Amino acid sequence: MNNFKPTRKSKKYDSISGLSGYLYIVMVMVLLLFYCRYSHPIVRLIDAGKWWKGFVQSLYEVNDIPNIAQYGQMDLSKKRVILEFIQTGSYLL
Amino acid sequence: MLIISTIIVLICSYVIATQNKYQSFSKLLLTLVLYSCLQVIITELILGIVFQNLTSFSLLVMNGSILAVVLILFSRNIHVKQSIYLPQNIKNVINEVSPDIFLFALIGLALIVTGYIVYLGYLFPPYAYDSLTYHLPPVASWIQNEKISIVPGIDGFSNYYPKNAELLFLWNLIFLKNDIGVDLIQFVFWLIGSLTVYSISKHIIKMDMRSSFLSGLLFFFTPMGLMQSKTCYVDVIFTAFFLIAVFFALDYILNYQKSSLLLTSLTMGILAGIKPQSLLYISIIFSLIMFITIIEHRYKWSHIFLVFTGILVIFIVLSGYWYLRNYVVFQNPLFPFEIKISKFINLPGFMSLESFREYDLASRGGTSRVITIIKNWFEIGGYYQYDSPNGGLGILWITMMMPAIAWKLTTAWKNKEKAYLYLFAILFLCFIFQPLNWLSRYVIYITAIGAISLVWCLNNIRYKKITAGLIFILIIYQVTLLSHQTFFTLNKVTLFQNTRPENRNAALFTGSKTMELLEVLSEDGDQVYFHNIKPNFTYPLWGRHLERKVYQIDANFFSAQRSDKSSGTFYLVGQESEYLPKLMESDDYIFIYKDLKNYYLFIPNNKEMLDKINRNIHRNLL
Repeated sequence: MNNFKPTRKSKKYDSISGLSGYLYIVMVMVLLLFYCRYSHPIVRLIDAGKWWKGFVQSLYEVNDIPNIAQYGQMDLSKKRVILEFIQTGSYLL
Repeated sequence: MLIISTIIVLICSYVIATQNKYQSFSKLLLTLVLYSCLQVIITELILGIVFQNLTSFSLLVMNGSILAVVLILFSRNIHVKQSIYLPQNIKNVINEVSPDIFLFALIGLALIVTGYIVYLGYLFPPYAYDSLTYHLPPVASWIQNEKISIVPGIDGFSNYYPKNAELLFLWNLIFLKNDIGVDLIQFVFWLIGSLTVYSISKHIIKMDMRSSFLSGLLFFFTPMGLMQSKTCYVDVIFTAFFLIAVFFALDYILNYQKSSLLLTSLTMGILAGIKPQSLLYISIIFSLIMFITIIEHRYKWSHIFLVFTGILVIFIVLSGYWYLRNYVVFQNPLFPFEIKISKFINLPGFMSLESFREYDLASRGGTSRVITIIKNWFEIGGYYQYDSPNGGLGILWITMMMPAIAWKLTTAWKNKEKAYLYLFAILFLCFIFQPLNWLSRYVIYITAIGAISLVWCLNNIRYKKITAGLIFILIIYQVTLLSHQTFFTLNKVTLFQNTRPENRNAALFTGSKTMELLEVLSEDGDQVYFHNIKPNFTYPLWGRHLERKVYQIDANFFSAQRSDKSSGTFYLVGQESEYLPKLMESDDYIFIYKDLKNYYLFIPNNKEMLDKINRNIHRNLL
């Protein structure tokens, strides 16, 4: 049962919903503008895009990792990690 | 063993849960989750406190015995048919969802995000700050000592908090003997939280299945929930249980389901054992139940008295241990919080109300609470982080959910829609009374009312397609930002993808080369003595497979005749440790490494140990 669908018979409900609906849209627009003014979403998206590019590349490329090279043994085979992930999943099951 | 034990617990819970009839499959699922968690927590508490034999084998035996008893007791009344509803329910959901492109797209996105989080859960060991300092070290210590007790040497006042959520982490660690999946436990509870929002929409607010499903999905995409799902914090577990408690409480109040009262009490019992702040939340839910029960004259006073006593007993059984322990050890059940009410009530603690206010103000950088909340909600000042005030409730919350709440609240007030008003009252009061409500991770539940209100708006607004499109774009934006900067430490992804699984350990996140070196030099069964390391990252000392034994250096350390000096033993002390000069001066110990965090590493001065170190250096480093 859906309590929220306005019935066509109720004109009063329709009119409230209409006025509130416009008010709602205005509020959303104002808040969105305020958000864009102070939070710089485009800059954030560009930053995120740069990182995503790096992430996708890292799945296929061998990267120079001086940090871990000091102590850990490196396995530089491509896509190996995906295979491990699947193997571990099947092992747990 | 993990899978066998979990199946045992699930069967047990299923048999008990199906003794009642449920008006919906989602309610049965939530009851199943609740009973399973109860069984896990109670068996661990009994084995860890009463028998002091907390091992994977004893847990398996105990839960197996419980299953046998349950099967004998309920053998004549097992409702296997209930399980037949599962495919039927899935079919119903698919039928409802499939014609709706908007829902279909959101489900696709949710599946991608789920896959990504699971992948990260596999790839990364626990890395979050609080996980390494005080959420996981007690668990590792309990497994090492096979008993539940206060672990010395762990930093912060949170070490004295109740630890029901950590017991859920323990279930994973004790059986698997590695931390490969422990930081995904919160993700399971995030899914349960989303299911609870679906149930509230469907059975409390009485929305249709499609709308309820959408509410659950919108809640699922809350950035803070998704970010925390990949950490061993407890906020997501807390949120899930809180929403379950709200659901059962409203089910009792509005749908006259007496069985829901018991389920509310059980959920509140678990909730009280997750954080002391939950006592506030429980008081609000409980007051609402009592208030409505009294004003509606639905039950007699004797009934209300019984309800009150029942809740108290359940609370004592499920969470009383943690408060009783603090009372016995520190003479204050709410330790470390100092409580001064009058001359007669003066409970000792090291966190007074005044120092808490100072801590709160310092954390906000001196700005007022309202300004901090506004900055936080508009995501001004920084990228998302799993524990910071920089955003976390998402762009959808501030731009679309908040106005939706205002609109829906006005309508609900005019139409006297009790269900929505009660739900709003509980969540709003909890938000207002939460002292740290400017930190998103403590108030993630507030987006539940936002999600439900937004779906209502979508059903009522004239420009449905445009609004749905805008919601989808904003969710895509939220999800994209999640991956950036601090969802997890992004620069580490490449590092971990190219590292062998055995080398992926929590030490790599501490920023301490001494910790990393310890991983390389030590072997299974070695011992680590530590004292006063800051930051207090003690969890990595146990190793990823909990292969090392860890002890704190105490006053008797140097006076005792130590037999461990000949075997594999390491000593890790901080610069401010009072034992550092003694270790430096003594000929019995050799100083081998110090890092930028001022962690000092020592080994015993004997040939056997030196040979071992040389061997491991040659094997692992050269």
